[in-house]
Amino acid sequence: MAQEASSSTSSKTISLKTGDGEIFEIEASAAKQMKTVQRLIDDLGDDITIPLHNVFSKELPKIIEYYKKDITGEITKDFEAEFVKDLNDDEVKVLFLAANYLDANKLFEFLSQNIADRLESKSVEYVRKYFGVENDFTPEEESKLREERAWSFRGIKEDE
Amino acid sequence: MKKIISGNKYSNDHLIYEILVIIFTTLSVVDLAIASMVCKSWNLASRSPKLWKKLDLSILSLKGMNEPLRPFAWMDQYSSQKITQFLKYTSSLSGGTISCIIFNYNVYLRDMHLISIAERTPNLKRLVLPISGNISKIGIETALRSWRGLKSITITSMVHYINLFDAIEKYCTNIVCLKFTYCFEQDHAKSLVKYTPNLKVLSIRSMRVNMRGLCYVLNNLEHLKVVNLRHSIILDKFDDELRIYSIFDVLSRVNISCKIIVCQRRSCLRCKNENMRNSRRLSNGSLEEIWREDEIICLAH
Repeated sequence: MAQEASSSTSSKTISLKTGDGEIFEIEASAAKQMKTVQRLIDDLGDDITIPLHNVFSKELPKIIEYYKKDITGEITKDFEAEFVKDLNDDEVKVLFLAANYLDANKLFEFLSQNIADRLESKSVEYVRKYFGVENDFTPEEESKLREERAWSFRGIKEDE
Repeated sequence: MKKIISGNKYSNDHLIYEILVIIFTTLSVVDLAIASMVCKSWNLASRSPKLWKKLDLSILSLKGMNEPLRPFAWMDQYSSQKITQFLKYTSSLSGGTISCIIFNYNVYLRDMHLISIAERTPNLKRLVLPISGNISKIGIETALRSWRGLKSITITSMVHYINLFDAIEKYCTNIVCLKFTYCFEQDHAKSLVKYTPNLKVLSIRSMRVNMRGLCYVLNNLEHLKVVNLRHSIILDKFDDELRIYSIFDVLSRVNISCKIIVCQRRSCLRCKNENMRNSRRLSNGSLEEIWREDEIICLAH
């Protein structure tokens, strides 16, 4: 992207380097939305390539795509639906954690809503698998929960 | 959103807690209860007070699965017991912070449901009752004894108003908002003036309203700020003759400073819905809308 001769920051681009060594460019105004990046710019200056150790070349382009739309004010429900449509559960999770690392609030909240939608009406086992979470309840605690769990509303008149 | 960059376990746990609470805020109460059983850290996050200001049972599933569609739902003993268990479990997660309870419109409410949730929600300020159920005099009194701070109620025909107002007289001196959903008669008006003298907000929209009862509350409730009469029919019987009145007939008989809401075609919710609705829609649908909607924001949900 060409840089203006004047010192306005609206068309300045920032270079980001992912954890696996690839470099991507974003506009300075988009970088402002990612507070982690902005902090690094403040510390290191905006002429240096900003290193992002925890974000990789698979997800960064998607994030950049989101914020490109955001700075033009074009984020609509349709865009958001399209954005997550082809993502599988793992990809959403990875994006979500990256958005958290980058402190990119808007994307973070949008994705957390999307994850909540994906968990809706699912069983405890499914949710554990989805997040890769281990069941760390003791057998006593587990059996106490299983009693209380008998109330599950999934088919209140049938067995689970 | 807090951001912690260091890598030690304590800060990671804190991070997980905050992230989970954010995800959980959009879950329905049923899914939140499921989430609380996944593991210990999820259990902890599911107890965050941020998630428990309101217990909304009117939406059991965001995708509309397994939603009871008609009143008197889940009346059998097995289902009723399950409901009690669920109410006890969710209120134990809440740690007593629940300040608003919205019962599911169609699910049959029994004494034991009301009493067991009341015992665990001492900070309740707003109560929205369902359309079907069987609440006895003792049931409502026991419940209101736990809910002395109650300020706002959506009343349905499920509790007899005499029992309700007797209980209000004994335990709830702070009622300031009321919404009726079936009809408004002179006896209701007398109860209001006698037992809820501090009433500020009254909604009696979309129903039959007795003329003398209406004038009585307008003239005698000194603190009344707003009354919603949108789409209500004001009528009365004199010498066996039923007459319908307009809002102007009412205004000429009372001396008030409160605001009265009536239908103003363009901005009216009901008129808007009417245009979008097809003529074959079941009346039950619109009854639930009456229960749910209100131009007064604190009485809508």
